[in-house]
Amino acid sequence: MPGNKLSKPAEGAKPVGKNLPKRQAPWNDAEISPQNRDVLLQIASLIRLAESFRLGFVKCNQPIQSRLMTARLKELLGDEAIIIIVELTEPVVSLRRAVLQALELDKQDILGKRAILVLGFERTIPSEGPAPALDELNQSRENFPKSFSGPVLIWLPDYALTRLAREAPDFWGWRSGVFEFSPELKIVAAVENMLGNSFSDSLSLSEKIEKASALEGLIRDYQELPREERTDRSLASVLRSLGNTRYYLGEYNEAYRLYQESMKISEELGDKSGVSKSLGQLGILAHAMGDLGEARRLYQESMKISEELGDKSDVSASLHQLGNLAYVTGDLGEARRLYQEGLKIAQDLGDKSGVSRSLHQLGNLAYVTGDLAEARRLYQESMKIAQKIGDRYAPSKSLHQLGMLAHASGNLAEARSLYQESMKISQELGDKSSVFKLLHQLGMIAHASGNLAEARRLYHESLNISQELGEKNGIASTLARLSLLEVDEGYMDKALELIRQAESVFVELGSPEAAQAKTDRQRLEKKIGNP
Amino acid sequence: MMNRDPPATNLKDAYNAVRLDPLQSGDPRWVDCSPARGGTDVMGLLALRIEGSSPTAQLISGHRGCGKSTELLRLVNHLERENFLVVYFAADEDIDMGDLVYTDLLLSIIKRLERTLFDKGIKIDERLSDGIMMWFAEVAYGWKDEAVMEAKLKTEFELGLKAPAPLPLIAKLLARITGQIRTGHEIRKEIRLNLDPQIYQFIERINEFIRAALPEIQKKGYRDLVLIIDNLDRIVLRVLDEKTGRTTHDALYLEHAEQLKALDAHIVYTVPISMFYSLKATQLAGAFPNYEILPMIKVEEQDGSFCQGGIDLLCNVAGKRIDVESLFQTGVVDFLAEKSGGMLRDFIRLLGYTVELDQAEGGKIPITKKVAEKAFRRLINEYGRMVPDEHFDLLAKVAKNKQVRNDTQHQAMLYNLSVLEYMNGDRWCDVHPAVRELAEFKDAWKQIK
Repeated sequence: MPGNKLSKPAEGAKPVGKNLPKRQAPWNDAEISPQNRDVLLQIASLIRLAESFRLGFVKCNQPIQSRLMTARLKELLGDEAIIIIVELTEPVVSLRRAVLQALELDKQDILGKRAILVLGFERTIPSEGPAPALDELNQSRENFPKSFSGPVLIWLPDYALTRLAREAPDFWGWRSGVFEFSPELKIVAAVENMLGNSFSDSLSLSEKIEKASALEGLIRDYQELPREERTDRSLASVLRSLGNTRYYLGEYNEAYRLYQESMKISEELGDKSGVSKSLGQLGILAHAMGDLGEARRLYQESMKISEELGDKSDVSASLHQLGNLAYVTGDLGEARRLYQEGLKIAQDLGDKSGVSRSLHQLGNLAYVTGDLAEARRLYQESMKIAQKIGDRYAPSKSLHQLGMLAHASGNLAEARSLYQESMKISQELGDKSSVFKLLHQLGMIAHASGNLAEARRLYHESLNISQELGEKNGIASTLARLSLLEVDEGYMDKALELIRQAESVFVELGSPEAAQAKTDRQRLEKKIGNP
Repeated sequence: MMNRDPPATNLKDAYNAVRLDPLQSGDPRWVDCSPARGGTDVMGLLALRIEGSSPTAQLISGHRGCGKSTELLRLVNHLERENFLVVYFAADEDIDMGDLVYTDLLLSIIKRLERTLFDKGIKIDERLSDGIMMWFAEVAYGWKDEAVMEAKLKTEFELGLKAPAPLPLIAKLLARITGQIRTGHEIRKEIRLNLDPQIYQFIERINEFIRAALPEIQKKGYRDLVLIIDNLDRIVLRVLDEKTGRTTHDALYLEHAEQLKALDAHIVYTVPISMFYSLKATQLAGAFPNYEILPMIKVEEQDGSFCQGGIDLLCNVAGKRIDVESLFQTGVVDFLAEKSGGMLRDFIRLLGYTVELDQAEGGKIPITKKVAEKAFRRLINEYGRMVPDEHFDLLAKVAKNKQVRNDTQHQAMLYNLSVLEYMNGDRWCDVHPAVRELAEFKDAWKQIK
């Protein structure tokens, strides 16, 4: 599938530390507000007093703040009680069984008083939709005192605690206290700074999920803090950042909602730069969903604002996206002009990520115009720059394209190996959009090598993902390939049906592939003798 | 029979003396709160019907945390002293309350009955009990051969770590069926499908079992058999049919009232209080004419004046656990009693909060009203989480009229305890004192005034 575009939502800040540091965060020495210190003392008081099972809830929006507070609690209690922290890293069916299992793994034979702090149960409680674990919890209160002999404190962000109170009332009814931590401005700012410095596209799938939950925590904190311009500006930026993470996780609807929400706040603040950034991201989303007209409108609107503001980096990003649009609609001259203009600005700014991005796209242009040697040179140069700055997403795309080059020159074994190398990275990144394209390519190789069953399996796997994402161009391309497969297997009626579907999607998208699909369809109709 | 420590005189003992678990019967800390529950001894009424009539099914209802389980355990104790054989169990220990159908309940009943008889050394005619067992084996699993079944159950129970003592075959079989219904998703559906069309035979088998057991029970000196099923009111409320509004509660208590009433024994079922405020309330009272609702302890009269009687009773509840005079300044416990709305569990909870907060602030004794106010503030915040925004206008109306309408919104308000029910001659309702302090409620209250 040609046209493997590099369209990464801009992340705002420059990459400094790529991954989320878990320890030795800079705010460890931050002062705790007097209000939160009181809350800590109250939790300590419950643990000191209780001589049997007690159920408590702690409201804390930020996983990072929770970790800090639990550490302080340990210091505060010293030898008086043993604090066991159970952090649930994935959704669970039964909270009680999950905690018991975690304790079992620990295998600590602990004498004396112990209190169990449970973190991460919010991963089981979505902000909307069914949460069956709450029903289970609602009925399991009687089992808790049988399983635990000391206090159990469940730490949750605000929304999850409210859901629990309403949807597990019988469990909630047995609480011995709800302790609420307020957001700490210092922690919030430090976390935001850190999250802003990590590129979503280069994180592994689990890191992306982790980042999304940290961003959600930040958003809740900002919503709780008194509203003022500074916090609102940050909220808009965090919402957009979460939108990007959702985009890379293939959750397009959620990304759309977040971008809209961010833009609304920026508009209220009169923050034009924020509005321009959200418009750009919405454009990328529209582009991915196949609404090219809407994408162009959004890119142009975004670019107009960036030009007014003199924000060259954003202008360069918009030029790049408009170049991508021209490219997919077959207007190659216009695409080249836009990419080169974007490249020049990126070079002037010393924006390596932008340079790598433009070189990649120029490689695509060389590729489709048949200049394969030039294409190879550009891809390799782009990949080199990206690797230097620790980007993994762009190199995965370059590998993909180098695979296409090998593929085009008939070197199937090399192509397969390049696709597989690219696939490995894409899967680690949870980059579904690349995965389905690579499956498509691998299907083509199996098809060309005469392995029809394998080809069919790969096409279908690809189709499953592109349909899940709603990526129409991908759907149509794979349908067209499946049509060819049916021709090879001798099922002309099926083949015709598939190419008709593909053609209608291509036409809807205004894709240059529509012409080829039309030719294929007419040929088939003629063969079957059925006008 | 129970040796209790004297009321606590320090904070640590006090904290551990105020726990939310229901009291076992005979616990000296029990206080008769009936004078402030409208003057009727609800459990006494239930007992009277059991002692004075032929087997009937009765319903008991009341708010979560109003003292229902404590009172039911007291009823058990009373009946046992009157020489009744009582089978008491909490339904949610046997049954998945998120997905319960009436046949699950009936299975759980016969399982518990068999266990109790076994424990008391009451044997029934073996041929009869074998016949009943094979009926269940065939209907549930299609097993016809006792030897085959015996072999299968033997290996299963040896593999599992359950059953420390040798269990009779029928107990193993019933444990297997109820266990699978509780945990196995597919097999649950299958067993239910098999049982449902045979419901009349099913009930007849249980009654055969009861009839065979009764003479043996009486030989042991018991007057009669009583079944008490607690926590059945925790059955999750779900709408099963959007068009008719039919709920899981309707399905159990109304559509299968006949089956629930068909057992040849005295039986007491717990029912969610919200059912008595649904559109189906009359229908429910028609199906089960013998029902009682345990109201809250009155801390205020209907006209808003103070109800000293109720407050004194709650102070008495506190005094059984804590040495109130040495630990609290005068009037502090009265304040907590008033703010609990007469809901026992919230009152005990507030006592615990007060002790814990006082300890956190250095542990000065006697505890001041300022600390108690902080404890109440915490309870207010908790109710703030429980009440959805759309309820506040309606809550203001309840506070004004002291009545609730029979609709789903008001049912939800009773269910989450933002509205409490009281009694003096007539039933009346009021808004929980913690809810009254919420800003949203105050706004709605201003509007209505």
